[in-house]
Amino acid sequence: MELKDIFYNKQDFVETASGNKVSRSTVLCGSQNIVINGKSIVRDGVIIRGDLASVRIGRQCVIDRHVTVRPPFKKFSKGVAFFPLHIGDNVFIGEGSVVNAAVIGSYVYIGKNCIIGRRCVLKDCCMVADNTVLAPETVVPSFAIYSGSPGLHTRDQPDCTQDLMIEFTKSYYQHFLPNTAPPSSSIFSTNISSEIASVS
Amino acid sequence: MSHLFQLDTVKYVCCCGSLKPICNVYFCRHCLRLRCHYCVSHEVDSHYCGNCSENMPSAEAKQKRNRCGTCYDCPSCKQTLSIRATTIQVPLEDEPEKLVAKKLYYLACGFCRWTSRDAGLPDSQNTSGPWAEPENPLAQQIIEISDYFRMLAIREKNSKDKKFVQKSKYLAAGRHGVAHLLPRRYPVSVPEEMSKPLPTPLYLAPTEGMEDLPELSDDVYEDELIIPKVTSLTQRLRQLETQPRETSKLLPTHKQLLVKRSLRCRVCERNISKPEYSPVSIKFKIQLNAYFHVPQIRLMTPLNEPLVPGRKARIVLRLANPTQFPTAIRFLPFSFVPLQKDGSTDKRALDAGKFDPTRESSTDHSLPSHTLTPTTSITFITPSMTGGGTLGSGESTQIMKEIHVLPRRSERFSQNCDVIPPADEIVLPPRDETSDFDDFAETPDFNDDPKLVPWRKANKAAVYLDVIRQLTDGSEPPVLGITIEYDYVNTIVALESKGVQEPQKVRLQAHLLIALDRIPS
Amino acid sequence: MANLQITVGAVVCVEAEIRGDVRIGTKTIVHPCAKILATGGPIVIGDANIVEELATIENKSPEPMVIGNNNVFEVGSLVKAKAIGDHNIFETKCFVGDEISIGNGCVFGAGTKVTPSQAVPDNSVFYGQPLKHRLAGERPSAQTLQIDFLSRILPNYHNIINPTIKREIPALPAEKTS
Repeated sequence: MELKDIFYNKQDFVETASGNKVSRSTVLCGSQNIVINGKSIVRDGVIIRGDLASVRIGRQCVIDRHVTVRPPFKKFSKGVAFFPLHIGDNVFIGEGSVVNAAVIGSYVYIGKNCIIGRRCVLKDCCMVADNTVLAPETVVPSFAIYSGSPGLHTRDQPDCTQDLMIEFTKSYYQHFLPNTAPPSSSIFSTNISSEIASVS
Repeated sequence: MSHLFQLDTVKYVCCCGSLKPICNVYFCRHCLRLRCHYCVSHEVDSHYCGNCSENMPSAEAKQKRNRCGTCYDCPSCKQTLSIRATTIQVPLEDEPEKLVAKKLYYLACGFCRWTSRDAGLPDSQNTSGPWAEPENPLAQQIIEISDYFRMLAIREKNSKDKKFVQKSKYLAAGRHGVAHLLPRRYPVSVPEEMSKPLPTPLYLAPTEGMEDLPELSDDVYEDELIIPKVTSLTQRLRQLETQPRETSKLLPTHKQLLVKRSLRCRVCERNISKPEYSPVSIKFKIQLNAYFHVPQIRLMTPLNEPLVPGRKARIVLRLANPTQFPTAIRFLPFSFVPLQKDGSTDKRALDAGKFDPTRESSTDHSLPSHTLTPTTSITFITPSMTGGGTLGSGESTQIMKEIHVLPRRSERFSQNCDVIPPADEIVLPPRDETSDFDDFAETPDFNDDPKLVPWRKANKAAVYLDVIRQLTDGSEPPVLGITIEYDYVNTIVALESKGVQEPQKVRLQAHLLIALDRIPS
Repeated sequence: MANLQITVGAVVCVEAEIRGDVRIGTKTIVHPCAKILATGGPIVIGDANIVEELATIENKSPEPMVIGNNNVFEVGSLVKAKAIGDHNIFETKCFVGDEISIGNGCVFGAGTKVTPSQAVPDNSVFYGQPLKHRLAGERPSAQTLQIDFLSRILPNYHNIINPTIKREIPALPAEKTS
C-alpha cells in the first residue's frame, strides 16, 4: 500500500532551510548540541535531551510522536560522562519509543513503544520490532530483527533493506504535508478513493 | 520489512510454487526465473560474532563449536553480559600496611541483573579473565565411546577397501594400466593390530538392574520450594553439559556466532547473492534481489466494499520499473502452472491467446531457436511429446533440471478473482536516480488513456484494473491472480557471448497473487 | 505547586510538573517533563533520588506516600506504590500499581507491569515479558556520580526552582551546597 498523507497544521511545525520539519511541541533541551541533517521530520511530543550530550541525527530521518531521545551515560573511574548519540540516515523511530542507545546506524527501523537500552549499538539495516525491550549494551548486528522482551534475534531482514528504507523515509517525507496544501499535490490520498467509489 | 509498504499484500509466485513478497524473492539472470530461498542453495561465507563484530576463520569456528571466544551470554535471560569493574583496597606485597586500589572485573547482565558473583565465580583480575566453563562430568566417557566407534569405522572401511583392490588386481598393470589413473589408495596391507578385536569401553557394557531401590526421602515433600532459586527449562537446556537445577549453578555461556551466507541458484549454479566479507558492511558483491529486476506492483487502495461473487470492482495498482531500461507491461489472466514431476501437461497450459508467437520474435534479438521464454506456461511439455518442435533444446534441459532439482512446495493458493485485462500495454521509463533531486524533471508524455493510467511519475505509474470475482463460495477473502508480461534486458548474456554487442531483450512473465481486502495500517 | 518544599541541594527543573503537597530531599534531581502528582495526598521524597523525564509519581490516596533515598525513576515509569524504600530502580516505562509497599534494592525492569498482591521481598528483580522474578545477590549501586554530574550541568540549560528549606546537610568532607 502507499503511505497515507499525514497532514499537519503549518503553525505547529517549523520548517528549516535544510528541509527539516520539527514540531513546536517538541522539547529540545540544549538545542545548540542537537544537529539534524536535512529533510528529517520530528513530530509532536518528542523529547531530545541535547543538554546531557550532543545528539546528531542524519538525513531523511523520521522521529514519530512521543519519542524520547536521550544520550546514555557511562561510568568512568573519575566520574560519569554522557556519550554523544549518533543516529544515521534514513532511520525511522516509531511512536512512543525510548532511545537510550549510543549509536544507531543508517537505514534502521525502530518500531512502536520500543525501549532501546543504554549504550546499545544498532548497526546499519537492522530492525527492532514493536514493543521490544533491548537490554543495555546490546549490539544489534546488521540485517538482524530483534523482538520480544528481552530483545532477541528472531529473524533476518531481506537484502534490499537499504533501498526499502530509503524509499520509505523519502515517501514519508513526501506525504507529510501541511493542511493548507491544495489537494492536487497530495498524490492519491482522497482523490483516488472517491473516483473509485464513483466508478464501481 | 514487508510491513513497511505492506509488501506481502502482493505475493509473487516463485518457480517452485511458493508465494513470497517481492523483497524475499531473487531473480536468476541466467535462468531468467524467480527463485525463493528454497530454490537456492545457501553457503556459509564467513562466521562472525554479533557482539564484537569479529571475523572468525571457519576452522577456528568449528573448533570452538561456533561460539565466540570473548563474548558471553547471560544464563538467566540470554542477553549479552557486560564486564564491570570494582576497585578494592589490597595490601601491597612489599609493604603490607599500605593499601593500594586494585581493579577487579566481573560479568553482569543489564537486563535481569545476574552477575558472575551469583554463580560463585570469583572476580577476575583482567578483563578477559578466564571465567569458569561448565564441565561435562561425562566428558571422559563420551571421548572414549566416540574413539571406539571411530576405530570401528576405520576398520570397516579398510576391510571394504581390501575387497575392492583384490577384485581389480589385473588392472594394476604398471604404468600402462588403468590403476595409476585411479585415486591413490592407502596401503592394502593391514597392520596386525587391526585384525584383533577392539576392547569395548566400560561404558558400553549393558546395565544391570538393582533389587533394592532406596526410598524417596521425605524432604521432597516437606522442603519449601523457593521458585526464584529453581532454573526454568530453557535455562537448564542452554547449559547442556551440566543442566543444573539450582540458579546458583548457572554459568555464563559463550555467545553463538552469526553467519554471512551467499546464495547460489540450484539450477544454473551461479551466485545470486554474495555479501561482502566484513561483518559491519551492508554492501553486496552480487545482489540479484527481485526488487531490483522485476517490476514492482503494489495495491494502492483496497476495495471500498466487500466483493461479492460475480460482481465487478475497480482497483488501482502502482507499477514501478526498477531497471535501467524501459519496459512495457501487459496484464494477462493468471496462468501459473506448477512444476509436475512426472512431466504431464496441464490442459490449461496449452490455451492459445495467452501467448503470441509473432510478438515474441519481433522483440527477440538473440538465439534463433529461442521462440519461447522459460517462464511461459507452455514449456511444461516433456521433450518426448513435442519432439523438440516448439522448444529449443536448451530450454527443455533447464526445465527438466528444475523439475528434478527444485523442491516441490505444496503451497496452496486459492485465487478467486480474475482480471479483465486492458487491451493496451503500459510503457514504463527506466529508473533514474537523479529524478528525485531534479525538481523540474518532466515525466515524458506517453499519451496515456486517463481511464487506464491516471498518474505517472518518473518510473512509476498507476493503473486502473477491473476485477471480477468468480462465482465460487464467497466466504474466503478475495484474492486476485494476474500474470504480467514485461520486457527484460539481459545485460549479462551480452558480456558472455563476445560476438553479440547489443543486450538481449527478453519477454518474461511473472505471476502474482494480490490480497484485495488488506486494510492499510 | 501548592506546597512544594525543596531542600537545599536538590535540583528541580522548572519544566517539571509538580502538583499538590510535595517535599523533596537534598541531592534529588528532577528532570524537565517529570511529573510528581500529589493529587490525593502528600508525597515525601528522600535524598539522592533521580526522577527522569516523563516519569510519573502519583499519589491518589489521602495517605502520604513516602519515598526513601537513592531511588531512580527512569523515563516513562509510572509509580503509584504507597511506600518505597531505598536503592530501588524503576526502569524505563515500568508500571507499579498501588496498594503495595516496596522494600529496598528492588529493580523493576523496563516495560514491566507489576501489581503484586503480596509484599515484594528485598533485592527482587522483575524483568521480561512475560514477567519473571528473581532475587539478586546484592542491591543496585547508588548513582552518586550521576547525581553530581547532573547537578553541575542541569542548571546550565534549565531554570531551577529555588530551594525553600535551608536544612543543615550532614557534614561530608569537602561538600558544598549548590
